[in-house]
Amino acid sequence: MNEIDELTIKSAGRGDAGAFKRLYDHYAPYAWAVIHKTTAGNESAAREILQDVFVRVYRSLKHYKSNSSFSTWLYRIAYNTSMSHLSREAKARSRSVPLEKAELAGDPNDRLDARDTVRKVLAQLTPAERFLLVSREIDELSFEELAEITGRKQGALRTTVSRLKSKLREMLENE
Amino acid sequence: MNEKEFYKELAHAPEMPDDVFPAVEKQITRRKRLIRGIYGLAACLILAIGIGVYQVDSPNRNVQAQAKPSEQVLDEIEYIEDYFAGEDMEREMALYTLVDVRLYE
Repeated sequence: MNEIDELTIKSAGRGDAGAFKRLYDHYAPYAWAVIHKTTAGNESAAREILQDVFVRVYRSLKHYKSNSSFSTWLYRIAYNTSMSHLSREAKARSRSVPLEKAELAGDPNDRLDARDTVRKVLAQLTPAERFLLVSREIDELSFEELAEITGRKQGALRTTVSRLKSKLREMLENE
Repeated sequence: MNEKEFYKELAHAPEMPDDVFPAVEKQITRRKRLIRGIYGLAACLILAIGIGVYQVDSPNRNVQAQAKPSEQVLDEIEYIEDYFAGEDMEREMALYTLVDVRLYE
């Protein structure tokens, strides 16, 4: 991922609205892609999370230190925000109708197109697994970056991703 | 669907909604206003407390201003004032003239 220049980050941290807009325009599409998949394609949830992520980015910008890349820092915020949002949502759902399953349930004879299959498969994974899958396989983040984002050890992440891929293979075979 | 097709489809994300940034801006502005409001309220509160304390204390200040020192204190003050004005010597001399040296002979 191309990183934005330091000056823009610093200006945005000082409250420059134009710089913050440039920052948003640069990173929001990446964040949107990963958040959208982490929510298993739930657009309204993804929209809420994306909004929350950039509000948090704005508030925390002055604390950003360039020890890690800006994208890794932003992914960490996106990861934490997504996890807390989705766990809150899951708790609320457990008290009512399980919407995700209800949305996906339908006539089994209906022909699911590729997008629906992906949604269905993603819905069977946990939000953390979905995040790992997308950030590793699509955004091609390194295990080092993933460890920094999730706060887990690289070795554990390697094992999780490897198991996840076998699980996916199985799920796709059964589709 | 095979694995390759799955990852290809996974990479596809729908277009990002346009209304997210205005919502972010709105939320940031609301928060800024809230913080400013809290600071304003705190400043008003401090000012009100200050004025209140001043008003509550004002009778005491009037009493202090109207208070008169006792006779002894007034004498002392006069003595000190004379000392600074160099007039105390006169008083001392007057005191000594009252002493009859013959009494000590």
